[in-house]
Amino acid sequence: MEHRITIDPITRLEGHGKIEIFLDENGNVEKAYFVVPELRGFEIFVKGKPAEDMPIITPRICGVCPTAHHMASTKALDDLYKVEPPSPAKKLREMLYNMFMLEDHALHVYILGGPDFIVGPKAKKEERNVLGVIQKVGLEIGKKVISMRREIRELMTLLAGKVIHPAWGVPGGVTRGLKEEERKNFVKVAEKGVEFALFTLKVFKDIVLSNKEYVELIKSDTYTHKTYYMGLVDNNKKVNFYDGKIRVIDPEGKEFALFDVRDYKDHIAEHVENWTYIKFPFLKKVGWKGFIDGKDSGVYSVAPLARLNASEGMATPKAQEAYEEFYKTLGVKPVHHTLANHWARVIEMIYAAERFLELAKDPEITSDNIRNISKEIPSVGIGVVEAPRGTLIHHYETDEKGFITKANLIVATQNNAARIAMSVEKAAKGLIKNGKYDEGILNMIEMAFRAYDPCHACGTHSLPGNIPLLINIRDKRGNIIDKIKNF
Amino acid sequence: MIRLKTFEKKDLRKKYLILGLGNTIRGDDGIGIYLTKFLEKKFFNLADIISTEEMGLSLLDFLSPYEKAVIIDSIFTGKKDIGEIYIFKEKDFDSKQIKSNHYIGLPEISKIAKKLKIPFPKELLIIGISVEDPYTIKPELSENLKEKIPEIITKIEKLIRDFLK
Repeated sequence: MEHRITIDPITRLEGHGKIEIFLDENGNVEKAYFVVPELRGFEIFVKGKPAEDMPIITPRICGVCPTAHHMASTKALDDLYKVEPPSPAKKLREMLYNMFMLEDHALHVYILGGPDFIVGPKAKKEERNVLGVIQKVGLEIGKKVISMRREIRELMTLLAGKVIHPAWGVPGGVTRGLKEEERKNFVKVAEKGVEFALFTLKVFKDIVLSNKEYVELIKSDTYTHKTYYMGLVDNNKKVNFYDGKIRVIDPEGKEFALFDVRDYKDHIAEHVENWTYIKFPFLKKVGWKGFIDGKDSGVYSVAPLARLNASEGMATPKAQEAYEEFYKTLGVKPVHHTLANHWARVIEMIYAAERFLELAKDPEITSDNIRNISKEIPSVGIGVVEAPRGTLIHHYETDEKGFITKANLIVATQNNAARIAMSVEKAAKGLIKNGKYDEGILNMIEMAFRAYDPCHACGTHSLPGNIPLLINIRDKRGNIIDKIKNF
Repeated sequence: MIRLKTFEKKDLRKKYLILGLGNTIRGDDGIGIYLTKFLEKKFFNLADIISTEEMGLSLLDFLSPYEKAVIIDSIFTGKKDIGEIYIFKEKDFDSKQIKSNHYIGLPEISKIAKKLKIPFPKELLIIGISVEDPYTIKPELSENLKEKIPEIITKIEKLIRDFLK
């Protein structure tokens, strides 16, 4: 006799998702799937479109991280048209990008993921939301979160035209620079941002790290996977969101690969399962061995924790201090605890704010030299950024007139898909025993993947067509044992 | 591509807002944005008409300055009731679970605003248009929904006029 527990919808998740947990006759977990029912068909849609439209089209994959798609797309166009932007344009892009990262991370820390820790993993469901967070941290802080986001978004709108769909990045530069009289406001907001990020670290320490139960939860085997980690690094192997090389470290922390995004196909392949539309990227040179961790399995992880693990530090002072404290407290590098993503995200908030401030103060940032024009015939362009949720790759191929013939996007949630599936199953197995569970336990299973901040609106864009309204769940032998409608 | 209006200067802002939500490259999901284009001609002297593809907490920035707001979005019921109009008030969100990406967080936004004493419309009218396919990536509405647009506009125009009285 088989029992099924369904957690649906997953609360506070960007996009759609469903978890299916199958219990055996003793009430223990036999298998847990994290199903992504949404299908987007984006690559098919963009075929035949002019390549220069891609930075405007791709942010519309979803309303969650448009700036990441805009920037990856813009960089793919630089590569497509073989044009290097002038230094001021690169700095402007990086500044806007760090503003976005700060704002997006803040949203997750306080609103999407924060409730699990700030309010508490075992608190009642109706209390585990942003209102619960406000209750816990106080009204003033709540106001600070809202106003900080708003101020950053206003400046992003000033610079890039729109927050959600910037019309700004072009091959070889940007369409609008920063005026000297505007800079003052950027510096002011950046300074507030640094203060806000440092304050967030304090909140995290006071509420999360001072609570023994939470720290044990972070370190528990339930939320631990020893996988490879991937992230962009600068020339000094420090975390960089906007540019650099892709670095991969193995589960023991040794550098496994350091490569330019143009060579990503030599390093990354994709595995397909019949129970989900999401593809599972893995390290080609290690191979796909299934949903298992360890050095012999090609499963890797992206997102804040992976970025910290894959780097040798942060490029700004306060973030570096927080980085050192992170590894000192957890006592090991790499850190394999999924829930440490939340802490890593706060450290990245500090870096994003400090980098925003550095760039806002940079004398070159108000230069008029913001674009180089290409004279090359396009063929292939590949761009990469670190989206809040991890490494994001845009790969375009065009005819000689610049019309898209092929597009491939590897989005952050895809990069994490295998590890998310593993986390969900492991959490389910660790937390449901002999048929006993309560709402708090089920939330803790959700916590396993919420830590990755997955976004499925763009995670399943790689096949053409409609949303499937029926999902087949199969047993180990491939037999369908259940059919699920998603409405 | 539909140009979005923003009203940055307070003195130009009206008391009421008509906010169209959706994604115009996701088939019928764009209905809220298409409709605001028609409604602009009818309500330009009474309300600010804005379209956005944003969702969640970001909607607070749009809604905050207004006394009353109308939100128009697609709704996918799974029934064959394309073009049917569903009306919701803020209180409905406590009891109804609505399948729309864009509503995620709307009741929370309202509560956050109240809790943090951020200005927020005293009254919301949420108009859900039942659609056939809000998931296929295509830049136009389905034929079945297109046919219904004149009828939908007539109905929602009356609803909005009554609400904004």
